[in-house]
Amino acid sequence: MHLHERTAFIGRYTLSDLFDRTFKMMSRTGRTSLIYSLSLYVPLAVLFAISISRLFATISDLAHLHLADESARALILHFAPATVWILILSLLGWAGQTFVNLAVTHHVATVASGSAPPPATYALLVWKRSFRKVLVQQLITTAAIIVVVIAGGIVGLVGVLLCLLSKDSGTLIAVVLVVDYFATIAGIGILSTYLIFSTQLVVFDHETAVGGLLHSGRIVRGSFWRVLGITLLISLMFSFSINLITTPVVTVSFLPSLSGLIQLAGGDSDATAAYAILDSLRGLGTGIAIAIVIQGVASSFFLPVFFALFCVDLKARKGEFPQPPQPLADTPQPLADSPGAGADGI
Amino acid sequence: MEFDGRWERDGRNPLAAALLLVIGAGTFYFLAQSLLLNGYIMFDELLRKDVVSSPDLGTAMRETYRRYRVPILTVLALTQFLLLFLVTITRVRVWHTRKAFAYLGFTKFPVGGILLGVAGVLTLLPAVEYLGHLIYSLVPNLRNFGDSTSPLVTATTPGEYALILFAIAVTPAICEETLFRGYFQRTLQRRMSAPWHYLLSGTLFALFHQRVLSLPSLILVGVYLGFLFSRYNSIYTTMASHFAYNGTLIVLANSALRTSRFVNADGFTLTTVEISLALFAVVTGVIVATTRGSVPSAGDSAGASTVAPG
Repeated sequence: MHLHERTAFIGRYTLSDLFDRTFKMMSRTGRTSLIYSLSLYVPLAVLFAISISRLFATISDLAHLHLADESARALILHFAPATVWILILSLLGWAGQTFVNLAVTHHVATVASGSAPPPATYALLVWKRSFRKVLVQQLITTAAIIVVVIAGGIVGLVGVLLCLLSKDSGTLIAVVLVVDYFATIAGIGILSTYLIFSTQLVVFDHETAVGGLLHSGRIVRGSFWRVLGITLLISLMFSFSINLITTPVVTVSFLPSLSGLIQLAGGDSDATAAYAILDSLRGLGTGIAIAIVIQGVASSFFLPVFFALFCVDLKARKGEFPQPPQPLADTPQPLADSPGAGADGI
Repeated sequence: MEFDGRWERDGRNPLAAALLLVIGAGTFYFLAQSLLLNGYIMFDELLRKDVVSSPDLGTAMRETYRRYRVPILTVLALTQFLLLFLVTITRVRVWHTRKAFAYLGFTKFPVGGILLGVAGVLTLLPAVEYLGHLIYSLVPNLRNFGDSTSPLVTATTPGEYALILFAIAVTPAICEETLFRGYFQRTLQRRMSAPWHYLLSGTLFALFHQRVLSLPSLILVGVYLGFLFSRYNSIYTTMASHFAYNGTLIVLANSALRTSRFVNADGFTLTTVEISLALFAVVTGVIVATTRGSVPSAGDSAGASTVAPG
C-alpha cells in the first residue's frame, strides 16, 4: 500500500480544502471509527463508572464511620484499590485510543491509495505494522516532554537563586517564574508540533518509531506556524463542540450533588446533608461514562482523519509523492470526487 | 441564485462549510466574551480592592451580574455583531455567493408571516416558561442559582431598559438568527429535508446557549423558529419572533404581575399554559395551511440555484 497522486485525497490543501476532504473521508471511514471506538469506549466507560462510584462509596463510608481519624497508612489502604483500578483503566484507555486512531489512519491510507478493505482488516494491520512502533514513539515523546519540563524547572530554580542575591528579590522572582513558565510551555508546544505527524508517517511510509519522529520533524520544518495555527484552531473548535454536548450530560448527573453543595455553602445544612451529598456523588460516574463514550467516538471519527490528511498535505508540499504513472487504457480512472469534479462525497 | 463563491466553485460540500462556520464562530464568540469579561472584572476588582463575595454562590453571582451589568451587556452585543453577524455575512459572500443577503433570507418581507410568527412564539412562551419552572422544581436548591442572572434583565432607569432591550432582544434577534437560521439552516436545507434541518439547527441553537436546565425550553423555541424559517424562507419572520420572545421576557421581568388565575408567584399557571397551547396549535395550523405548496424542497430552498463552473 503506497500513496500516490492518482486519488482525490492526495495533494496540497488550503484549510477549507482540508476540512472538506476530512468530511468526505469521514463518510468512508465512519464505519471503522464507529465499530472500533464503540468496542473500546463502551466497556471502558462502564468500568470507569464503576470505579468512580466505588471511589466515592469509599469516601462516603469513611465519613459515615468517622474513619477520617485513622492513620495515614490505613486511609491509603482504603483508597488504594479504586485508585489503582482507575490508573489501570486510564492506561488501557490510552493504549486503546492509540489502537483506534491507528485503525482509522490505516483506513484513510487505504482509501487514499485507491483501495478499501473491510473494517476488520485494520485490526490486523495495526497489530502487525504500527501499534508497537507508535507506543514506543509515544513513550519517547513523553520522555522528551518530561526532559523539557525538568530543564524548565532547573532554569527556574537557578533564576530564583540568582534573584535572591538582589535587593528587590520578590518582584524579580515573580517575573523569572512567569517567564520560565511560559518558556517551558513554548518548549513543549514546539516539540509537540514538530513530532505531531510521527504516527501517520509510521502508517503511510512504514517508518520505524525513531524514523517516524525524525520524518515528522522534516515535513513540519518550513510550515511550523501553519501546523501550529491549524492544530490550535482545530483543537479549540473540537473541544468547544464536544463540550456543547458533554457538558449537559455531566451536569445533569452532577445535579443532585450540586443542589446539596449549594445548600451546604449557604450554611443551611447539617452533617446528614453532607453525607447525602457524598452518597449522591456516586451517580457522577454515569455522567462521566456517557461523556467518555461521546468524546471517544467523536474524536475517533474526526481527529485521526483530519491529521492523516493534514500529513498528506505536508508531504505533498515537500514533494514526497512520486509522479503518477501515465494512465493506460485499462487502468482505473481517478475517483469521481476529485477536486474540481463538482461531486460531493457526503 | 448563482453560487459563485470559492466553496461552491471547488465542488466542496456546503454542509462542511456550515458546520465549520457555526463551530468556528461559536468558539471565538465564547472565547472573546470570556477573555474580555473575566479580564475586565478581575482588573476592576483589583483596582477597587473589593471582590464580590458571599457564602451563598447564587447571591454572589447575582451581585456580580448587578455590578457589571453594563459591561456584560455591551460585550454581549459587541461580540454578537462582530463574531456572529459580520463573520457570517463576509463568509457567505466569500464561500457561497456575492448575494449574501439574498442567501440569508433578507429579501422577502411577508407581513402576514411575521405577524403569525410573533403570535406563535408568544402563545408558545407560557408553555416554555412552565417547562423551565417544572425542571427547576426538581432541584429546588438551584432556583436561587438559576435566578442569579435576573439583574441582567431588570432595569432601574429608562436608559438601562433601552440597553437591556438592545442587548438581549434586538441583538440576538439579528445576529443569532442570521447565523442559525439564515446561514446554518439555509445551508442544511440545500441537502436535507424537513423536519431534519430545523430540528438540527434548533437543537444546536439551544446547545449554544449553554444553560443546561433551560435546554428543553430552548430546544422548543429553536425548533419553532427553524420551522418558521422553513415555511417562509424569510429571516424577518424569525427575527421578529425572536425579538418578541426575548422582549416579552424582559417586560415580564420588569413588571409586577398581580396573582390571578393566569399568573402566580412561580409564573404562568397551568390554565394559561393550556389556553396558550391551544392557541399555538391554531396559529401553527394557519401557518402550515397558508404556506402549503410554497415550501421549497431540499436542494432548491431559494428557488432555482446554479453552481458556477470551476
